[in-house]
Amino acid sequence: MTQVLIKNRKKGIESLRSPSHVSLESFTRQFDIPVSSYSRVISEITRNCSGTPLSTFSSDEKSIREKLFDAKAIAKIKIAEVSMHLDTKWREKIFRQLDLMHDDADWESDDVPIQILSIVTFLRSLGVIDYKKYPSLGMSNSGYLLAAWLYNENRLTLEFLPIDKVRWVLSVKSEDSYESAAGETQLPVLMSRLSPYDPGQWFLHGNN
Amino acid sequence: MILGSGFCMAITKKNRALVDDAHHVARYLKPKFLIRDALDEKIIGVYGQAFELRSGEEFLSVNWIEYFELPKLDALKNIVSGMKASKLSVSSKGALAVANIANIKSIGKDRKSKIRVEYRPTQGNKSHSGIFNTLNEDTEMLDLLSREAFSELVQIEKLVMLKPVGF
Repeated sequence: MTQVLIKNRKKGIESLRSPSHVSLESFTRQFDIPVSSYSRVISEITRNCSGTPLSTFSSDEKSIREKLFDAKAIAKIKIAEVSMHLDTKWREKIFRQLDLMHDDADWESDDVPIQILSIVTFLRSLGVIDYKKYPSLGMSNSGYLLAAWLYNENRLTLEFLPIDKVRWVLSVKSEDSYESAAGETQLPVLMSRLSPYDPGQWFLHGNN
Repeated sequence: MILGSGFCMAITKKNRALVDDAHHVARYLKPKFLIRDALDEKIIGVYGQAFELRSGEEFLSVNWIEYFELPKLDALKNIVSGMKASKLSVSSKGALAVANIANIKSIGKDRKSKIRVEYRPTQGNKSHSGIFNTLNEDTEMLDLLSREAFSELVQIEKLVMLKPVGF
């Protein structure tokens, strides 16, 4: 099975340790875990930071465009906390896609902007999974960040929920049909849930 | 009563009637629901979350393409015009996703839900219709809708340059 690189942290790994019945050893059994100072920084992003201020969108004094600008700015500032550890191209891609997601041309009054707690889960996932391929990013109606990887006809989508929760769905081509699977899991055990489907095809070799 | 049955018959359009399985619907997708290539230019897919019902919604809003009895591209242009006429915002970075109704219902059957498509016109948006009985909690159903049913994507910026026909 393709080995998937998963970042390990010597410092702060407790912050991502899964519930006690899943030991770190079982999580790492099938994967190589290189040590990375980058992931040490990611671990410093606590999963329980404050959410997107509702006042950003409740104020009537600002235009929709101004409110969207503020919401994007909050997200970009959070991403900037680790930007020195992000590839420049990927940081620019993330910012560009944040702009696309917050298009004022079709923004409705009950639309929800990107939620900071979702950004936090996404950034913390960078400390667990070494994404060699950049995903395409989107956003759900709840303001949660979406990421999609395509490899030929196989697709993986992750939805980053608050507090290290990830909703995933995938489809892989199998002879003449597709096999699909979905789940909702905690970040530390995400790779073990995806392991039967060779996640390396997306994270290491996928193309968008 | 099923609307639009038969190639030679005039299509009857009665409010709340089922639309023929052989016909097609289009759903407007905001930029946030679109999967793009590495340069964020070409649209290459749709997130399943594009087919989630929002709070308070009874059905998924779509537009009945054969309502216009025009070539598909012209019908899609009219759909965009109809949305704008009903004060619905449309972004040039968005897209219309097209699906055959039989395919949509087939996915519902696989996922144990009786999906149906009803004609539900509104003031200004005459081709408006609704997809009933999709399941927000069924992530795989939504993913199947995005991958297998609504797989034909037309970018709005390519449509808006052309004048609508017969609208």
